[in-house]
Amino acid sequence: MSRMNEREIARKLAEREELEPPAGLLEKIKSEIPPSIPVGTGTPEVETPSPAAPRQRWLMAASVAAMIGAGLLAFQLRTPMAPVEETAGSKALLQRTDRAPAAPSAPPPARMSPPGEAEPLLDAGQAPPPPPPPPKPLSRKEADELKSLGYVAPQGVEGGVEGGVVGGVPGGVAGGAVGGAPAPREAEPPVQEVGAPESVAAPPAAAPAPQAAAKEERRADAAADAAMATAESVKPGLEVRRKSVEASPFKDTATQPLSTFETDSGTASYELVRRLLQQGKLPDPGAIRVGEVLNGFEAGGVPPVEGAPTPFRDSRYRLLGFRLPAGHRVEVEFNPAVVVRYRLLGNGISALYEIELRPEAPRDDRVLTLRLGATEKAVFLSGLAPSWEKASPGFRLAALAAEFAEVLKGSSRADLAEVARQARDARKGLPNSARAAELADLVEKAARIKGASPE
Amino acid sequence: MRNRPDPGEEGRLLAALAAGDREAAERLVERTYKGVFALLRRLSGDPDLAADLTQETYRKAWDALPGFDRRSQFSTWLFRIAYTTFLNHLRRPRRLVPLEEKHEAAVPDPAPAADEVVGRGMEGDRLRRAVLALPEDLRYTVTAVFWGDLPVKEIARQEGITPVGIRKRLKKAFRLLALALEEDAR
Repeated sequence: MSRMNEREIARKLAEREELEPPAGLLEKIKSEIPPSIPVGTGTPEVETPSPAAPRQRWLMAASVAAMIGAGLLAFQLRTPMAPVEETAGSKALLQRTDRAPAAPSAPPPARMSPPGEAEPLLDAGQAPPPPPPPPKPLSRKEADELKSLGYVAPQGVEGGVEGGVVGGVPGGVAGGAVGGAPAPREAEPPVQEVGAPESVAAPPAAAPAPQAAAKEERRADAAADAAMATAESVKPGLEVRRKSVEASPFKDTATQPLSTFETDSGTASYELVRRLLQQGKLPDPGAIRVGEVLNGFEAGGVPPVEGAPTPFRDSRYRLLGFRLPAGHRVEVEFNPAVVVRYRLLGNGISALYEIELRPEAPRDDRVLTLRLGATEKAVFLSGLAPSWEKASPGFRLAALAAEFAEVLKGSSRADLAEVARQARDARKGLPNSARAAELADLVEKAARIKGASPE
Repeated sequence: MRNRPDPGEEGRLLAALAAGDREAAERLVERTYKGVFALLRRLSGDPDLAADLTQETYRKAWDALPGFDRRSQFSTWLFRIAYTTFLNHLRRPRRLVPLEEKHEAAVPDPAPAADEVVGRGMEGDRLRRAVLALPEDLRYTVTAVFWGDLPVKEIARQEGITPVGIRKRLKKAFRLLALALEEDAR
């Protein structure tokens, strides 16, 4: 049989016969409706036409125009011209520039200018000024590297050249190619919270968080995701705009108990992070793959399956790590009776999940079932480390690396200061580990660049 | 779920249900049960089993409704419950084997257990089995799009990815399905 093409497959899938339910099914279902059904109080989502698509098209057009303008500018700058100092007009202009600051309502400058730099004023009849001195050019290697990371010129390469695309679209290109439209948020799944006095997850001193607080926290997570997707930060030294990338969202076990991942032995993101931080630059959030960063800090002596409380969240949360051979598809089935929600932080050679436990979950209950090929393994709450400190050093290192990668991705969930503190502790705890030392070093570098000293 | 329920009407019914109107629940059932049954019938290939699972889906839905925060449509949310109910039904107890190093490298990637339990001999069964043997993310996407008639945008929102991501999944699924059907025909 010859292989079917996509269209044929789609057509076959779409084929259907009428599938009428058996008589009496409706009545049976109706008879089982409980007398009273509490309904979630979430705000109904309103379908609004997304402005992203037309805006994106417009931005793409502007980007193309700006690139053409930039090309023309580059071409003009490469052609021989009289030095600026030698033209009388320019001398006059320079003198005038010294005296006259730019008016606030002045049109946008025809080139990228540092803040506060004045633009020359033109008198009527005065000869047009020579082209402005070229901005400090990036080396080809640097430009290629920035391009590969998704960096683009800020403010849509305003101006371009005389006769080129004057003005461009301010802000048009910036970030556009990097992140595109923010990914839609996952539907926040149904969660039934039950406070319980005998809490496994909560410490004895602290009562379990009430339902409202837990729900509020999940809403805050959702808001953080949304904010992160749109947040932008500008790194002045590079004159490029960085865009945060949405972190892996939580999924509710009530509706999505199954999660799959494939192990991956790539380390490209780790190498990129290391190289750029050593050069004093932050990598683009979109270029970070948490799994590839994890692979850079793989340490020996880590059990295939391990879990422990996370130092970055409250006591309901656990980190779970699976260390598996590369190139395999792994299925994880979470037990909704124990796990409220989960998210895959990253999958490299190790995969890391963050899970939220139900407060009332019994310690001997199954957290999940891990399936690799024909092999299954059940993981029980009692099998997880009771504290972060009791987890294996390799696991802690991987967890810190994942959290660090989340910081670099711009996640508002991740706390760089806390990562730095934990990384310093890990270095003290693993004095002979080059990886622990490197992680602490990289975290400190990132903190310095971000201007948030870990100290 | 060929005829998509009106989300506005769903919202009104949910509001009425929240206010204690039990009839609103009946209206919701009337609007959705045919779609749920059709989905489960296509997944299972067995009308009796599909009817049982449809009932079970609604039982689970009533239990879970307090947590439904309306970020997706009710029918989409219900679809997910039906799909999970079917998968849970398929999961028979299997021998638990410790995941030792010696197992890890040699284990091939097999077809899921779903493949072992669905019936054979019906028309279109090969395709159904091939769909059930897909990796979970692709299986859900194909099922939701073709057998649940959910809009791509809605599935994307539920899955936390973009519609382009959903289309990429479909493309990958088609490729795997073509391969599986070709293998099956040999």
